[in-house]
Amino acid sequence: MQLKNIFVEGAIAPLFISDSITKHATKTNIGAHNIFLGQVRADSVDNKQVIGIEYTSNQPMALECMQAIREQIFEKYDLTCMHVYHSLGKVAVGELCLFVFTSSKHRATAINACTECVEKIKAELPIWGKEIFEDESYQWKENK
Amino acid sequence: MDIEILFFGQLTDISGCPSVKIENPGSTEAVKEWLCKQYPGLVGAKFVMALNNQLIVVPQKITEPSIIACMPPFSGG
Repeated sequence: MQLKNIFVEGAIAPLFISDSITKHATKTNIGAHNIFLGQVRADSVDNKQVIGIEYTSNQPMALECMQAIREQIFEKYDLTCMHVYHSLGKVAVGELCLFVFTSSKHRATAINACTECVEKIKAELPIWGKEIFEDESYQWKENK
Repeated sequence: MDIEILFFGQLTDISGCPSVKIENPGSTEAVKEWLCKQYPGLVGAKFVMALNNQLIVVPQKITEPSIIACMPPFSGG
């Protein structure tokens, strides 16, 4: 089975997001969309400012895991569709690194499915973020 | 028969390389032992292992050319 790719090199462009929304105009059975966008935060650690995050992944495994998450979400929620994109490589502070987009007939389904999907992505996908500081030193990100 | 071991995230700081190939030691437990001997920094490091993309929950025999991934806690998103 062909696994759906979720990875985007670098930041996710806001234009890509608006294009994705536009594409759904023809799906007139949809009554609700929910979108989660992850943005790289300028955290400060020991007076050093994060300027970006560099993402790496165990890609074949991540795509298999994402397929399993997708199946679980579609089994639990009556979604019309779901789209997931995650950055790889460098993403600067203020840019977007995660885009999860769920659509359904009614809002509760789209909202709950989106939240659960984001939680699973953070907990289960083999992806790592390296926080780069302005002096080029780094620390490995930890999910809270 | 060789197996390939992949390192991810902060584990690459310990291994100093993204992957190594070694003669199959026969089981996932033996791989872990080899790793801790070869890279003492891994002793006490928090990580999980996957055999051919499947998380290793119980020790397994390795009977074919395989890929073992060593993965620290995930931090995507």
